[in-house]
Amino acid sequence: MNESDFESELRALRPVPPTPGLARRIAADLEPHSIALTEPRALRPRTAGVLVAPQSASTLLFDWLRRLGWAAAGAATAVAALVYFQKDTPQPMPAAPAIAAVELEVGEFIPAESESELVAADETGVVYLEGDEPVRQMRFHSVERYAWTNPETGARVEVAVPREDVLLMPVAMQ
Amino acid sequence: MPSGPSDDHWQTCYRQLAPKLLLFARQWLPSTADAEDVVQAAFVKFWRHRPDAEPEHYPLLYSAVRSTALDFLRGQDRRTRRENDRDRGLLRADEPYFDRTIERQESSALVEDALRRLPEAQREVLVLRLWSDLTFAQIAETLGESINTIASRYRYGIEALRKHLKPHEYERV
Repeated sequence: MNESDFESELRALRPVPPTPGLARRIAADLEPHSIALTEPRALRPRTAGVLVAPQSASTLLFDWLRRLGWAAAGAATAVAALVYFQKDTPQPMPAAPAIAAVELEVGEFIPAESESELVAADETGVVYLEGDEPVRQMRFHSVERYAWTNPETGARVEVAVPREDVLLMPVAMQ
Repeated sequence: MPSGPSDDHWQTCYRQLAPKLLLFARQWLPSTADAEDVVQAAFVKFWRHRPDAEPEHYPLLYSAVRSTALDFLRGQDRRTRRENDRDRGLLRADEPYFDRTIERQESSALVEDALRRLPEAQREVLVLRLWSDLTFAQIAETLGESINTIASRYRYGIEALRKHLKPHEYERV
């Protein structure tokens, strides 16, 4: 069998189609008014696998955030109402808080070194900004280390801070 | 406020691409259920941003699926570190890539096994070329590589696939 025949035979294999629920869930997402058609994932029929896959944490997180959003909106409304109804009531001026005179003896420490170490760089593909053209996204993970020393006592303070930079580059698609 | 995508637009695209996008997502996510979640998120995001998308824009969907799958994996890595080995096993459901019709049942299984043995870089090129019908130029754009790199990955991938299948006297897939 030559290479072309081999490729043709491979192409003849048909990828497994998605479950019918996927189209319904996409329709529900793209058409907000038909949200009632959304099929809970827990009720979705599973494929031939024997093991039952656990419910995706991303789905759970989405549901939780949605509920949290409503709770936050309710709380914000309550606070706004409270402020509105109290704004005409004369309020006693609060006494100025006593500020404790805390003096930290940090003057003796002087910066000794600082460095930034690039740990990983990932290209996460094309993403879309709100209302914009697609952009290619790069993530750079690094650790920044700072050190201070006290020349008199020899004490040394070190701090390591993880840092993630996201770089977005415009993509020109033909 | 942009208007939403028309039913005809996205449904035509879905009928044409859904199995291919699902297969592509499964290169990173062995579980069909997880891969469907990723395809759903990428598909919806794509059509919300491009309600008037035409077929020449469809290759962008593969980029969207890829980045969504990698984001999903990052989240999954964080979760699995907190889970014990028993629970982790549930995420490794071994479900078929291809329709297993009776006459192709054995060959489908062999090809799937051989595909899983390939390096990820070669496997994703083969999947995009053979079962998504993308050109080398479109694959290069999707994966952010040069066309030469994609062509050589494809060539090496095909050779490796033949080598994996040869011991099984693979004559007809």
